[in-house]
Amino acid sequence: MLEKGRISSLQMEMIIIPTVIATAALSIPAFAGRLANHDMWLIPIVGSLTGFLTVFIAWKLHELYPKMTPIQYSEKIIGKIAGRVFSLFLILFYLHKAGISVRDYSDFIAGNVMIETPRIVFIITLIFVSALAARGGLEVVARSAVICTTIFLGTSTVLLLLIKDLDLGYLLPFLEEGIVPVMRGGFFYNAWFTDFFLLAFLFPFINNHKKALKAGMKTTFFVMFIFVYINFFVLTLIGPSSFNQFYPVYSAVRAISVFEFFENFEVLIMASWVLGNFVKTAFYLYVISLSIAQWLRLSDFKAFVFPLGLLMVFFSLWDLPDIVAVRTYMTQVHPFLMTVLHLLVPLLLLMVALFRKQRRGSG
Amino acid sequence: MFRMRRSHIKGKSNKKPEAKQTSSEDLPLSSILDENVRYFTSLYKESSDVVFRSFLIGQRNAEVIYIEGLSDVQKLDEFVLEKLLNYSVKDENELVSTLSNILPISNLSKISTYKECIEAIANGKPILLINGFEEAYSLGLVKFEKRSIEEPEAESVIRGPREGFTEALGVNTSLVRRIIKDPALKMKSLQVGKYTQTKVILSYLEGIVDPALLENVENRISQIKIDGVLESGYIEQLIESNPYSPFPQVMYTERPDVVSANLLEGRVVILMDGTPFALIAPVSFFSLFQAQEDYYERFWIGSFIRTFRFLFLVVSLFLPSLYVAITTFHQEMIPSDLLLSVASSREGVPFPAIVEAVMMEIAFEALREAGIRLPKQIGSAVSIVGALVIGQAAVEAGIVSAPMVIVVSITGIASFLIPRYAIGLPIRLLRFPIIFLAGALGLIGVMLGAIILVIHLAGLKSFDLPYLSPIGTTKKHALRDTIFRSPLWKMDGRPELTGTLNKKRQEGP
Repeated sequence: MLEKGRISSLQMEMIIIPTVIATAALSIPAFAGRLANHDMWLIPIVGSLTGFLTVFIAWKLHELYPKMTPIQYSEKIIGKIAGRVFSLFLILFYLHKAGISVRDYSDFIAGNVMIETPRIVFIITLIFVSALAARGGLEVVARSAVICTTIFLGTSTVLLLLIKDLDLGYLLPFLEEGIVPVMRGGFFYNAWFTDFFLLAFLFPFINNHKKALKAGMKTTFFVMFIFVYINFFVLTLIGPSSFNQFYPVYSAVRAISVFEFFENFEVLIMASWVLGNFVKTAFYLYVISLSIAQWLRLSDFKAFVFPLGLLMVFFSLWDLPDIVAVRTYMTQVHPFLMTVLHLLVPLLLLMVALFRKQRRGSG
Repeated sequence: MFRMRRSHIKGKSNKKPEAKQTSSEDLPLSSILDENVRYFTSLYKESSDVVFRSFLIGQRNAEVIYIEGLSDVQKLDEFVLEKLLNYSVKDENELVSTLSNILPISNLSKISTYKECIEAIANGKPILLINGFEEAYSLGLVKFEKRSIEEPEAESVIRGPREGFTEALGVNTSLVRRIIKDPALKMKSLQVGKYTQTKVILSYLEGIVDPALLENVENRISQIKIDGVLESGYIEQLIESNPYSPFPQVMYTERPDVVSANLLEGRVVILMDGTPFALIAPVSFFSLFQAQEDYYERFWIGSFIRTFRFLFLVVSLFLPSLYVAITTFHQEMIPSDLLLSVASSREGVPFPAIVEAVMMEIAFEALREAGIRLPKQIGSAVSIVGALVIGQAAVEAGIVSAPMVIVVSITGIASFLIPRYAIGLPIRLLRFPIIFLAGALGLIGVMLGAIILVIHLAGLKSFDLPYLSPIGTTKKHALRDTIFRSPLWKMDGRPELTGTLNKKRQEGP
């Protein structure tokens, strides 16, 4: 066993929440907003359906192959060669995906808060601290995640200070063009909700198995709630013009002003965003290192963490030229890629696995 | 895991002399008195404090050996010499069998090797050697000057018992015994230090402590190969799992009530001769923030004060760096009225905020350290000079700004709220790197510093107990004694990871 650590279901939740929402938290309303206009706060509810489905698939696969990660059981299900090809593709994809999310993070910090500092400083520092955590193993990632995620989510309550400025009129007209635009928006949210497939890398290490599936579902619901919460506040505060902004949540937070003293929370949000992104990057780095070690059948993954971190720095710099390209990629490529890799392929794996099990059972 | 490397190196360097000594010491005593006496006189040559007294019991030669000042001479004269000198023997062979009936000493034991004799003499027990017998008697007439039981100065309380440990091990064990009377309280004796041969007692509650933990602690102590231990701090640093961490993984205390409370939670206590400080292992980050009074006062007060403590932990760690970050990089974060007053007070200051902060923090740390080591008469002079230097005068001279003085003093006060001195030290130390990070990357730097700190703490273990436990647990009862202190009747379970053997603390209603 490569990983000897065991985590609780709560720690699993604390890891997966920032992994799904950290990068999206500031910009999510902008993505699918223009598809559904006034109804964009409904999109996450539709989108979460795939989330629940993904958690269920990951759990079923885990039940069939307990104590194995997708890298290991994909070989058992679809055969040695196909399984290994799929695994390698998955690993490379995660490297690319984590690179993009680090890129998104550094774009935001360098573009909004620390304008004079070069972007690469933020990329390297974030990946460095994440690598420190990932090298410590799953337990270290999990324990740091509990603290960091709590603070990260805690700061989202500052949006509540906006209540007096909300204009519920922006919610109307309700379902002007029917349910279809909302459904289409929901598909774009697959890009985030299918991330729950990453739970498959955590299920084998949970120490209270009975609670794991429930915890996964609870987390999906919670993420949906956070997205609805963010979309609702942004929509009712800024209105439809928020679709054209890169970071509408950031703009919303800037608008907070209570007693003319409690204001300028955007720096606080930015600081807590670092925590969320740290958990996300650390978890990705851990998953990638563990997967590579499993793929190569090695006995230790820790030696991979720092080299992969360096590789991730390059991925984040080379993959896409600028923030506009990142946005185009996020809306036009990412949802499809994610749906295939995190939903359809696992579904296929599950079906093959069930079929094999049935045949073995009858024969 | 315990670093085998360290013990290995030490074992190597100590190997030779040790082999020489054990060979002669393990020999049994000779039945010829002269031979024994010759051995001891050569062993204790040029030791003027070792007293040899020869006399006759009837017709037999006998010798008493003890170290001056460690044994009670008055009692030795009265209960041993007087009885034996007046003893008239009828049958010489009966002497040994009747000896224990003649000597009115309760702690009397027979020993038969040189090694045991040396140990007895060193511990202040006079030994009695009689010609013709291969056994000696160690007479338990130990007496040495010791301090009376006083209130521990470093851990004073408003409410709670006022006795503290002393340097005498026997007194300390008795203080614990007086609180926990059940025979389940065990005191296992070990010896550490080649020359100091310090007695170390491993105390635990049988049936509550985890046997694996006990074995682990015992193993690590017995692996210590060092010439001498002068304070329990030596043991602490040699048995820690992660010796390079700035955070203490073993807690120390001078209070018997704290020791008893930890024994009841399934921890192991290490008492050492010659120091009033007992070690407690394993500890978690949260248990280092528990003060005994949290439990003695009502739970509202206990919870309130404890929450406060964690708040000020954050303040003492991050306030100077937050000030540096905000005034250097994020001025927009300060409300405009406040910004104006901060800016006007910083106007005449020639240094950037980070230089100012580091300068003031160093001055403050220096003052604090100066106050501890100096004699009390000069100590007051230090505080007067200090108040002038880092206070009024510095601001008026335009060297530092007034807000900076306020920040440094709040940080100082915050660090005094931490109940255990040992956990206050790393916080003082870590403040500086975080200030530098803040000066380089602003709030992002502070966050990165905080993340590195969290990662370090998350990876730390104290005797296989995660340092950050019970964070991340799904069991509600485990969180009842962390940032809040639940009412006593609610805390009916022992801590999750130390008290697994015997979970219930209270009988259900």
